[in-house]
Amino acid sequence: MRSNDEIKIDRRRSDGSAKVYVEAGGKDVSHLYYGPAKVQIGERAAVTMAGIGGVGTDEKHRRRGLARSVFSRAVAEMKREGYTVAGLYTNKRLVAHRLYRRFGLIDVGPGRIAFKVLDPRAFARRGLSILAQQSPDFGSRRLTLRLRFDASRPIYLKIEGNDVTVLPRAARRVDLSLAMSCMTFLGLFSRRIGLPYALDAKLVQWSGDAGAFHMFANAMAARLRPVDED
Amino acid sequence: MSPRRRDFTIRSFREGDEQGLARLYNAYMSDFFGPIRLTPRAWRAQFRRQSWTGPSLTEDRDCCRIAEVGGRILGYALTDYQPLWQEDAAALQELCAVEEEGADEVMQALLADAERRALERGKSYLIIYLSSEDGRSAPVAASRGYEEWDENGVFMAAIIGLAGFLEEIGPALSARLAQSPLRDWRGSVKLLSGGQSAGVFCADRSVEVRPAEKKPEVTLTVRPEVLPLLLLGRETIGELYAQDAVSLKAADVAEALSLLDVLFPRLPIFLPRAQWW
Repeated sequence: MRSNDEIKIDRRRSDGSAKVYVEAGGKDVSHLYYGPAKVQIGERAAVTMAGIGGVGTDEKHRRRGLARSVFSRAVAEMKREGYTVAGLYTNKRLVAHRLYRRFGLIDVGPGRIAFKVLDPRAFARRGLSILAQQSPDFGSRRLTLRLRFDASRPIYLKIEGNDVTVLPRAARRVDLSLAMSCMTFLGLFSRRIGLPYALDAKLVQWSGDAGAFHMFANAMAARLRPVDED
Repeated sequence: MSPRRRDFTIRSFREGDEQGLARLYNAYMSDFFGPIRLTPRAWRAQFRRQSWTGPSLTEDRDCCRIAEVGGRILGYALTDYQPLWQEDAAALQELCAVEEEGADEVMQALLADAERRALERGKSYLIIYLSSEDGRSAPVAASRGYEEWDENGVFMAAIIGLAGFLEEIGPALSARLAQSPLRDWRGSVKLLSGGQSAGVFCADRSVEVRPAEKKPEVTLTVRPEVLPLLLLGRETIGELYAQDAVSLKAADVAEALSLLDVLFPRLPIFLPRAQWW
């Protein structure tokens, strides 16, 4: 924390949740949300837990202890509001898991999530759009990409000017071809797995222009993680 | 797999459905979490809002879709179409059906209905939050092509107010004591964990939470890193005692362990499947 950083709390939310955040230069740079969630313990006992979510720190403001300060202040606020339990869902492989342990949160049970892609083209476009917007070097380059999920028909996408469009038919010239499962795509774009691991584990296959692939790999590596260990 | 049934229809939530939905919820969840008695009002309060960012059930009745036949509710699905941080997704939070012929068919139809509505709302994927104890919705999801995202997902918790927590579950503590062979035990138990302390006083088959006494009959010191496991019913006092994760001071340690096992038994825990984690 720097002397001009200020921790603020936004309680204007109608559902009883609050946002705790650090403002630096008039901008929210690190935050979390918490709100009431009922936990039923057996037949008779129920407690209202402060459910924590949306923990994140701006990439440029990492390693300054902001997440720690926000967390600390949020727990103090929760106590003041009468919460007796705080809880959250996370992933054991995230660095954030260690941060949460430092605040006394312990693993209580598995959090299972299943998913199904309903619209692969929109799913692909959305993931790559985020990548293009967050990595201007990648997004600004004109690139035609072929993406194949599992055994489904390939999807052709054009990346240009930080914009991603799905092409209606197969492109004649493709700069980069990628093949992976929907699960791997979601894992990569939700930052649960890294591209080097996915390549080593043969979860991702690629072919085409090496320069285009390296640009894609660099963009993936530079992506934000939800919380840094700061 | 139960036999196929096609005689039901699916519709959106209507005011007054809470009665039937709460009954169904209690029956479904009791299979996995032990007896649960949510009142219709509590059901509505619990699911009043589907998410922190989405509309309430009153504003968007499609969030709750109901399968019924002849006015009888067979199952329901709760879906959040505006999950926080997942703007491209919809999140299915509850999928319940009565335990009878064709239950899987009802759940599959509700899931298919949620998928259609998610697509109509421009969502490209649907997430299902599964409870580890719920043995019925997971196979239904798998049969419709859902994949489990990650085996490393975990729910973490901390007890941030020990005395307040015990007060919150005070009525349950009294009921546990009153139904046990130790119902006539009288005395005080001091709980210590990290910087927190609290006391429970047992008398007349009831438990009262009050500040810890100086000379209690039982003093239990719990390592902070296992406190939620004990209080949330994940591990028993015996298991923690065997692991040296707790220490106990009492004239009769065996009796004290039995008493603590009565007060803090292993219990099923129902975690909210809210989307914001």
